Amino acid sequence: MPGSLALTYLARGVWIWALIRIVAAVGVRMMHTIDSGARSGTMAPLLVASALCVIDFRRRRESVLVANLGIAPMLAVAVSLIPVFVGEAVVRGFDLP
Amino acid sequence: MGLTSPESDVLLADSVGMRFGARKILTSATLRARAGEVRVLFGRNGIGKSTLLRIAAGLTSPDTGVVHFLGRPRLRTSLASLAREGLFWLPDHDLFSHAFSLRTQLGFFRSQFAGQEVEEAAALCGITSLLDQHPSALSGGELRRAELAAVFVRAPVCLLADEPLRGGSPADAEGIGQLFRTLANRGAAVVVSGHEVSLLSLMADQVTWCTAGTTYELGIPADAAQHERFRAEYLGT
Repeated sequence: MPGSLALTYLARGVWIWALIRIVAAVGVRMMHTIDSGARSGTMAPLLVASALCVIDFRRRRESVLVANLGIAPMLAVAVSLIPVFVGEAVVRGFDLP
Repeated sequence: MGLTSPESDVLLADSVGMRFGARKILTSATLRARAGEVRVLFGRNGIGKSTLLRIAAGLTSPDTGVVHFLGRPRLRTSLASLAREGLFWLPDHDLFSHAFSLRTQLGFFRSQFAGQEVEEAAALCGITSLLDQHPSALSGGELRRAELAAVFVRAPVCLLADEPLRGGSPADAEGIGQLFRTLANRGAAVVVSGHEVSLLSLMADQVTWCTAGTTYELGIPADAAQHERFRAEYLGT
């Protein structure tokens, strides 16, 4: 994958994860229904799944472009998911909400 | 239908059959692409042209038949795999993402393949002033020319284009037709589908007619124009 394209998809993963994380954190704080332990256990898979859905939606609009570049569209999704997994690992490692 | 010979064709979708549910779209259709040649694929709407092109591009697996690319049969392939070896697919919808500028997206192709420089390709296709625009800001004709700029940056050995003259003015369509001719003159194998008979016939070397689940190779456009069934069933003359 060309470096510029990889950076583009990494950056997309970063903003999608950050947006969903912020929205989820604000939502949980507003509802006051889930304790801290449950948050860290249940929110991460939800965030990853949500990010995957958004990224996949974006991918479908770009799948022919990416395939014409000789890149399997799923690879673009995988690159975008890297920041999601790294971000989740960091957040959970520091026990942040 | 002509004789099949994968060795002499850049691409050959041979004796392809395809059904969607109970509906049989293709029974035994053959599509070939040869270096330096523009082949036009005609056929009525819903007859299976796009399906045949998608099978040839590795986007759909046929029920029967096989696709050969660069002389080798490709039983389980994908567009990405064929693209790495020199295929380019122009779909019947917009190619470009609306998330990036044209310059960025053409740059993706330039960084991946050793084709024409972005600025040169843009000048050839008349989109130099549009390079920093996002695709959402362009007209249909401008988008088609921008997509051809991507083709020139890629410099493929084979281009499959599904109705590439849609959405443009007659002047745009004429310019795009000349670009297909230029690409073939550089040695690429070009297959184009569409309904713009007069314009496509001007740039075509060979005509293939898709009808009733199969294909007929009608030869040069002048011969195609004399084919009685083609005239009666497709041209309506």
